Amino acid sequence: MGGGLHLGLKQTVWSGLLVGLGVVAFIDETVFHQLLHWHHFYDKSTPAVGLVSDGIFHAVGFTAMVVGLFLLADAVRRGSFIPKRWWGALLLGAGGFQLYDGIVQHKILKLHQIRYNVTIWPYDLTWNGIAVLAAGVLLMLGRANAARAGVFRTSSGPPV
Amino acid sequence: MTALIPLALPVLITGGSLTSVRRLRRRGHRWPPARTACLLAGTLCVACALAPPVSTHDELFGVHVLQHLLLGMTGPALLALSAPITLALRTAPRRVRQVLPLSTSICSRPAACSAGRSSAPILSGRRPAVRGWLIAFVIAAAGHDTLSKLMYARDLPFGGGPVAARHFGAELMYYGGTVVDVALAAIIMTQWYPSTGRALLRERRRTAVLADQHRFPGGPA
Repeated sequence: MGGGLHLGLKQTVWSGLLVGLGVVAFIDETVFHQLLHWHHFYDKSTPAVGLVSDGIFHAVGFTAMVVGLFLLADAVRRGSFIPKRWWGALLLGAGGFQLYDGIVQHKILKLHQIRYNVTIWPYDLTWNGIAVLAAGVLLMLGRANAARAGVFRTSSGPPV
Repeated sequence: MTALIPLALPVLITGGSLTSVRRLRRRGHRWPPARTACLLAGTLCVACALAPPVSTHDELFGVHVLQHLLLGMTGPALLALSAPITLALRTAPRRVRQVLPLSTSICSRPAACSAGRSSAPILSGRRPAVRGWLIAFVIAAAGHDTLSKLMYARDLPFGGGPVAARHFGAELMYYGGTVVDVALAAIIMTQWYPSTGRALLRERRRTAVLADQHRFPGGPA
């Protein structure tokens, strides 16, 4: 290990993971809170520990997005940005967090649910299913030729 | 009239700093206009928080939160970005600069930490240990978010006007705090980005020199 390329790959992967986490946080905030109104700023059923977990999730989410984008700029600057690895890492970050959220937060700790006053299992299946799907896409990308076309392709990026 | 007395502080800061910048310019030194812009924006935030109508209506919780956002979060961050200590050290008379050890202690890390989380990484003036700053920042930001939701949930603070006004204040604290916190995260990273770039450039130059020596062992012709 070591050398410029591996360092660049490290930047690319970290950037993707963090942006993925930021995207999930953003979707949660805009789609579930603002658009669908399934979640609310606060409802009486939220326990105190849920408030703390919400606060941490929110702060970690937007910080991850900012840091991830700066790391993306850094990887591009190093000329070692690999688009497919970045998208793969983004899906892994997003899907990994969804799985954690769906299993640990929703089911084990029972902090909150996806939607209230409805049969919950189709929603759970979708939320966790998307996570598995995201991980699956990542694996597919992993076997593909990483240097091939992708969005955000840079001309100076070295082949893998 | 007495309500305007607190304004003396931002006015003095602005006047003193602008005089120093002018003196520096007249000596032929560069002082980035962006720093002056940060100074003006920062003192404007402080002034808005201290002047009526904000200062005279802070029994309403929403107004109090606005004051907190301006005076506690946005103002200090902008003032720190205006590099006031650098400016003071460059323009202070010799007698003042001779007690430099005293003044540089302001820039030490523990002192910077106590100066407030937002301005600390900027004030310390060193190459930032970005990971540590980010961890501290996330903890503080999460605390801010949690506190505002808790206040909403418990209808706090008592005596902060009608319940609707308290809820509005708590939401303003949450969303307003998020806007400022995103900007602060970006500020921390804009301190990191160029310093990493300089390190990268040095490394590349060194590799280029080594490659050159390898090709022409006797040195450049």
